[in-house]
Amino acid sequence: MKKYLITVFFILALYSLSIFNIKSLTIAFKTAYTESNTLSEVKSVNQGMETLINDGLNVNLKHCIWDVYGIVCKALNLKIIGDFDIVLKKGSYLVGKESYTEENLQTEPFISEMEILSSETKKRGIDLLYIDIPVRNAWYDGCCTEVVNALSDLGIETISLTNIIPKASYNDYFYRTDGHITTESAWKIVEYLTKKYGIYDEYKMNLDNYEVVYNSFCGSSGRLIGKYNVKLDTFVRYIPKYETWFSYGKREYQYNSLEGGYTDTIMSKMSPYDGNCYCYYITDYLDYGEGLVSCDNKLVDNDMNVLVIGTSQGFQVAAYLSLFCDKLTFLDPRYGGVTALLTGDYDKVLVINGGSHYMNAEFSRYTYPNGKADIISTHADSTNSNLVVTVKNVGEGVWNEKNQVRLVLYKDGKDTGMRYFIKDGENIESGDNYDFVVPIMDFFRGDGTYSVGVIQEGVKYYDNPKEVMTLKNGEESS
Amino acid sequence: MVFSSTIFIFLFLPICLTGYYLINPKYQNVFLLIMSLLFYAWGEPQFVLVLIISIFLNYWFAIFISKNMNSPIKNIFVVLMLVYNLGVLFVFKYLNFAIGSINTITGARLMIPGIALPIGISFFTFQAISYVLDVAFGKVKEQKNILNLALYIAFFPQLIAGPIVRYNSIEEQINNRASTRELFAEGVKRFVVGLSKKIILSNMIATLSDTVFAMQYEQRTILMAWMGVIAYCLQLYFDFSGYSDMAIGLGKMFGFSFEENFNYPYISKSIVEYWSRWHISLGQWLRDYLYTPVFRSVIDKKNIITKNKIGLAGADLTALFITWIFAGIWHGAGWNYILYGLYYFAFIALERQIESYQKRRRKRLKIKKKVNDTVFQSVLKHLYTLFVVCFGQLLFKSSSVHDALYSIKAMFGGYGNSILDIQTVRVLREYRILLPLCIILCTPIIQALSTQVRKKLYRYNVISCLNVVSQLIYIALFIVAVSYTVTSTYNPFIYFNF
Repeated sequence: MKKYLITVFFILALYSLSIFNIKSLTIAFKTAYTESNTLSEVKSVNQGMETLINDGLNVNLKHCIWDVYGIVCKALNLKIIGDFDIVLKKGSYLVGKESYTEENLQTEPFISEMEILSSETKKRGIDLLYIDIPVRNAWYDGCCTEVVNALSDLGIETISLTNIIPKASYNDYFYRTDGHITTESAWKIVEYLTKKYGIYDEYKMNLDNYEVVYNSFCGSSGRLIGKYNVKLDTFVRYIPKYETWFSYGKREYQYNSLEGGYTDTIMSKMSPYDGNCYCYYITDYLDYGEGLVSCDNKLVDNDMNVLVIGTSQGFQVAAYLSLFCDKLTFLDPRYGGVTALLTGDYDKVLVINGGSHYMNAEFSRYTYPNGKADIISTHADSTNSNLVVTVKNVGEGVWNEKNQVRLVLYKDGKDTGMRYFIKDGENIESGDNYDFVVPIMDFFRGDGTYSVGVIQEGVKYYDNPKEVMTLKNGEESS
Repeated sequence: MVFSSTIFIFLFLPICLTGYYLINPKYQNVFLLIMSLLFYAWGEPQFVLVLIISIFLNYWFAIFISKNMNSPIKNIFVVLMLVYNLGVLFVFKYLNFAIGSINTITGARLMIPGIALPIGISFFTFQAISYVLDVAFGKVKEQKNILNLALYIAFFPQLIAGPIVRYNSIEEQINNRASTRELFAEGVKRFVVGLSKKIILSNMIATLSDTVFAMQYEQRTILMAWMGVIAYCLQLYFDFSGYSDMAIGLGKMFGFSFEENFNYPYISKSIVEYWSRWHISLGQWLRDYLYTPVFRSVIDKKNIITKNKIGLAGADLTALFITWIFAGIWHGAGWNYILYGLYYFAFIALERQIESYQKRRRKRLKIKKKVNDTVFQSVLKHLYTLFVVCFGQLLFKSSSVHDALYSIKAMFGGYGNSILDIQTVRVLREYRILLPLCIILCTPIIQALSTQVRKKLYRYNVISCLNVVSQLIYIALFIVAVSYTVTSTYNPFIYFNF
């Protein structure tokens, strides 16, 4: 038996690894093959299966694997690790060995998007501020001067984190094991903003009025080499001891907003692995990945309505700022559409950014100034409880989801925020028709007159809304 | 799909093993064939047809040849088979290069078709050729069952990157093999060793090699340039030999025993010896199906220029030249690969001439036995071999001949680059454990030490404890290799390009 130890272990490992991860394997297969129609799609899906499986692996197994990997790297004294080229710097700071330098940083379409944003906010008399978060890596230290200079040339107010917070040490802004700014840094930004916006509240800024929760934290860089190979960070959360109440909106709450305190809404995603150093606390705010959320602070009445556009660097800032504002909307353009500009009535717009990938953020996509639509007909689909709205593209440009041309539902002439989408991959050329599908139930949201129209998100409404039905006393009256 | 992927380890292999051992033994070959085709289709669904057509046509070539063994028609089929197989290889692998070269040389503007390369085409084509030629030479009987032949050609452990398995070595095993516990256990150990070599050693040393080769030539210090090349040599060895180990290990798990493909090539004392230890299956294939037939056909023919008979030496040189051009081209479609082949031809030819001279000298001086090398001579020979191999691997790594020459220039300070700088020191510090470890592990030192330890401890009755310890080491290696597999991104084998 002794000579078969490895054989027995191998078989057990092979099968138990498969069995414990049967869920992720099944999901990976299902996701993969229900979406593939052609041979080349199958091939690309096969190549993506690896990622799907790795992402879906049993969490405890993943943590164990990271630890093992890290121990071996430590034993071999490696400081440059893995495909991600993580470099373990002096002082145990992990930095990404990113290949870009300031010289080859791609600043478009970001600068163009900011120009459009600036023009929109100026038109409406909204203050726009850009906060630059320096990129934390070994080769590119400091704020992105090229972007800041370009924005300043456009007349946009800009400030860097290094100006907001006295610079004791560059690395003090960030975690050792993660590229995000620390909670303490985010709090300092919030303090600066509340003073700037005139909504500073000494009571709320006093951390004695918060429960301060500390957790060991191994961030996104650290988890690549395991907790035994790094010096763990401490992730701090400030949870208000005072009463809070929010009306919290996101896409799935299109019918009703979620009502609740701070920890039920803004910080509602406390991980089931809370206390585990691999828990990614940074995503505990504002439904990370949602793309667009709105926070209506019912216990603040200062009429301050702020739109925060940011990447993950801005999540904590927005979450804590929401305690001070009447209303706050957070938009992460990497994930979602841009409805905020059109549906909100903002006093301030704040753009918080950092890192190379934010340069791909697009706020106003593929604008067609002469976009127009004709709503030809609306009729009920006899096979299901949907309304089919046939619309003709009578303007310039192609309608598709990438250009964010959608059908919008109005109630009493106001945009409800409800959207109906063009199917992925479909393109509606000028002169063509498209059938949008609207669930009938969407019209039964209280008495009023319901109408539909076409919108290019963040750009313009294409037409006059076409009335579909009027509800009175819960019943259709026309 | 690669062996070092989660999908292979967590999904494909368990299903394959389960199905194979649960199924009726009558259907095991068919099951393995289906799984092999699925394996190939995973990465290249459209090229499964190329594989299937190759199997089908080569099956019929062998059948026709075997039915006409004593007839001149046999040679026609042999030629047809060669034209088909080499033609397919040419179209998929070399056509783009050929047209590109014609355009460069003649200034023509022929359209380059941009044909994609089916993975493993060189390997399964060579296997098919070897099978049909063996039938033609009367070395093996034709395989009447097309499914069994298909299994030989398409069996997933060796389908993508070898070893190039000879039909005669596997003929008996296809129809009659015993999957014993011992064989399975050996297979598991071999697979674990291969996985560790590939995932842990090759991938880790690759970061050094990639770092150096990503630098501009002028920025590389002399030491850095040399470290990069050495790291690449180690990476290539662990990558390829690791894959071969996995292939051999997987074969054993299913009851097949494949020939060895690597035998510590970096301990060689000559280039001839090196190529008898590196990618052994390719060397043997080239020797048996190219060198020997060319040699035999050339010898005693009249030299075109001198009109004298081409003697042994001449035939040997001619056959070597053709073989090594072919070997170079086999490795890739590029002038650097042709130069790679010519490079090794030059050294092998030189060594054989020296060997031949030494033999004649010993005969003249009536010295019966070859004198063993002194330590100094051994060291010199090792260093010479390693130098030659390093530059050879550089040709292999480089995208062009120019690229290789610039790299060599950097290795000798041709850009005015210094021997050492701060970054070099940092890198030396970074790899101070891994680099020596890799160098040790590409020699049989560990194996030799292990044998010595066992011999010495035999009298103390601790062998069973040692066995347990070695088993635990394999387990630890497996755990580490799997952890690396999961944490790494996609990591294909270098020789996948063939």
